Amino acid sequence: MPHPYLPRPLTRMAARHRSAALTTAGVMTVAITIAAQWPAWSTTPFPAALNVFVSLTFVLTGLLLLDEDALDSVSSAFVLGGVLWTASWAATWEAGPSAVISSFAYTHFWVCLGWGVLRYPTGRLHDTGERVLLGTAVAVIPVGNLVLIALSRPESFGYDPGVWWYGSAIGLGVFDAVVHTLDALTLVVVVAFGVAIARRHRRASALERRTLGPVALGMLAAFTMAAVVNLFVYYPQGAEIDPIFIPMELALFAIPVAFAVAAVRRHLARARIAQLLSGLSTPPTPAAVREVLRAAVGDGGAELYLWMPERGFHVDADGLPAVPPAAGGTQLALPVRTTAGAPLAVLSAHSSLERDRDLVEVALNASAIALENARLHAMVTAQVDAVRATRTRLVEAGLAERRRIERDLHDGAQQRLLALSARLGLAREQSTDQATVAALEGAREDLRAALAELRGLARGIHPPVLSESGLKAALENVTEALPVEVDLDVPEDRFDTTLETTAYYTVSEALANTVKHADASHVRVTVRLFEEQFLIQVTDNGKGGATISDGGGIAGLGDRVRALGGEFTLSSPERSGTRLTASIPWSGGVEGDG
Amino acid sequence: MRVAIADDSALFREGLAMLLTAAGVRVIAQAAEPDKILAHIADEPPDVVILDMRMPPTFTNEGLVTAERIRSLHPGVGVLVLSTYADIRYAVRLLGDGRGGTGYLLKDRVEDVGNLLDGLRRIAEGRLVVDEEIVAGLLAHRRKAEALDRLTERERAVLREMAEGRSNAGIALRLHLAAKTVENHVASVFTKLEMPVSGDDNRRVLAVLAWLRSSGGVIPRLAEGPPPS
Repeated sequence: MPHPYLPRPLTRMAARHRSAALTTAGVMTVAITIAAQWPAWSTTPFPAALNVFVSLTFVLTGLLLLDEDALDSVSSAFVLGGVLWTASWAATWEAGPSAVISSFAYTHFWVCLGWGVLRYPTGRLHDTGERVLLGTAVAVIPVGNLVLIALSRPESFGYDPGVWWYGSAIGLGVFDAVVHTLDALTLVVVVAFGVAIARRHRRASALERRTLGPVALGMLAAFTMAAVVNLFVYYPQGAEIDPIFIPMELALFAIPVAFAVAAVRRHLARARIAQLLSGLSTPPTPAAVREVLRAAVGDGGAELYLWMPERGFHVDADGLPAVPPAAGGTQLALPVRTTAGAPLAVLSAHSSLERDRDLVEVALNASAIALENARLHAMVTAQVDAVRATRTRLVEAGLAERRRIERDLHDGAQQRLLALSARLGLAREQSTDQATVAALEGAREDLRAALAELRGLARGIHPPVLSESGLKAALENVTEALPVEVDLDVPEDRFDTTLETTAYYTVSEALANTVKHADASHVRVTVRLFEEQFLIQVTDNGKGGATISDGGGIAGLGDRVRALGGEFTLSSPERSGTRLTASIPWSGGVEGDG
Repeated sequence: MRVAIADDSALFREGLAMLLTAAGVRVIAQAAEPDKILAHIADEPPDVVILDMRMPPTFTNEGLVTAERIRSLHPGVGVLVLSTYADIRYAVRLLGDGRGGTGYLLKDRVEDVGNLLDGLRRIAEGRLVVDEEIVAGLLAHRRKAEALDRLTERERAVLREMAEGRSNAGIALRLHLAAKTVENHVASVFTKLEMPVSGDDNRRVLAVLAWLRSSGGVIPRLAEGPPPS
């Protein structure tokens, strides 16, 4: 199959310099078409003018469709069709090779048109039937025309006998037989084209139908007209344009106009949506995309339902699980797919949008990327929130467990040992035997040590004063007995238990490290609750050089702070003190005094 | 001496009662929770009530709260709070009104009957008793180190005894010193630490504690309470 493709560099240039290309091509087409049928202007200006418009719309539509996806061949067909239509009217000059050029161009114009429309909108022929049809059309129409010229003289077709002609006449009977055969075949081809286009129309999506409908009607009208005209007048001829061509020109005129209108509508819709989408925040929220879609399709009540593959249900623009309403009644349910073709969302809109279905689909396709981003963002956010919540719960559970263990120790083992202590004291009071007294003294010593150890252990697990009197009191208790000057810049407020406990352990551990390693004389402890940040800072004036060792107490604190979504830093340059900072995101504010 | 005991740990309560009974103290009431002991006290006031710090319902500072209620309802009854942990703030709050007749000791002290009885007796006499662990912690604090360095070892010992709530006579007994020597040491401590001399023993305890807790030198004024009964 010959492919009337426009050369690549030409199409690329035209696409890059769109307005210049359109202007140049338009002006040239008008000029050449006026010139091509110059003799006809004085006799039949109306059809001549219509021809100018037909050629112009064909060429301009072809160029406009250049950057539409998969419309390369269609746009080439239009541009070439425009050129061929212009050349068809060279016959009006009635001189030189005008008649041959004209009939050649005219027959090729129809084939080119059929070829372009058959390749719309995918850019490919669909099946063998269509390929055969196109092959037949080429054989019957342009090739048949060349054969006819070869078997005739110009006057057989009503041309001026003076024009250049390569054929020589044969017997009139044979010539007539050939002509009738070709006319019949042409009719068959036209009918077959009609069937092919009708089949296309049936299979087309709503969007394609809106474009294809008028195009198909125009095509069928023009083809039928051409076939009928073909029975009376073979080709454009003579200085006067036969009025029979006027309806044909009007029908032809409709074809590119239908294409152009559809293309322009899509362009405008895309431009509008692109403008709306470009104004979205990054990452876009589903609600923002919904607003864009509402504005784009002109339905303020349209609802968007994002499909969440991980969770197996839809969520509405606010992220709440929802079931998209089924299509029917006054509702449309329009699916949106990802670039990979997976389900992405459903737009539920008013069914009056069916009329503008193509624009709605353009809008949905344009917003797919934004929606995909929004969905990804929503999924990631949800996951991060879930992880953070889980980690916070783990930390809280750990702290609650510590409180429970401390209480169990206090109410159980410690009371038991204290009771034992009382009994031993009593036994010692009552015993008179020297050896027994010595043994009891030893036991008391052991018990005293055991109690002290257990108290230290229990307090380390969870200092009771923390839950009773709050962070400041608990830290005062810690610093009361430290051999180092501590400035406590801590509010009296009660905070959330998790915060209090985390701050307590962080400060205690930092102070213990300072006492053990830093050789500091002064430590400053700052605890602050800013808007959404709980800040803990311990700064000493020691020798610095502290590091976080794996498995050490400081490392464990860092893990705990990070598990609450916070940040933990240790800055300890040599000879210039150590500063430990923990900051935990918190939106709860301070607790009531309790 | 008659005492009442409130502690939610039956084991410890029984052990303590046994120990005190053997030492000649009459345990006239026992209870596991604050309200019950209050009822007992209303029926028959003891000389001293021994309260556990952590009792139902909240297991936090019921001992302290109950002590304050007893002090207001029965001013003549002494209160000794026993605690598993040494908490300076609770101790100071308990002794805070300066009226005397209150004490704060670690539960561990039950192993030394003599010491416990001494404490109970002092409370019954309207004096203040502070656990040695609390005083030791305060003395260990670095920020007082400079001021404390000006004291002799003997003077520091006297200071510690004062903080624990002992009178000059008590200190003399504990440190095996002559009463006159103790008086000299006490005067010297007050001078060196720039503390105003207080004639009242209980106020002296609070002043010393306040000094130890402060960054040194600045003594918060104490509220004038009613005289000890």
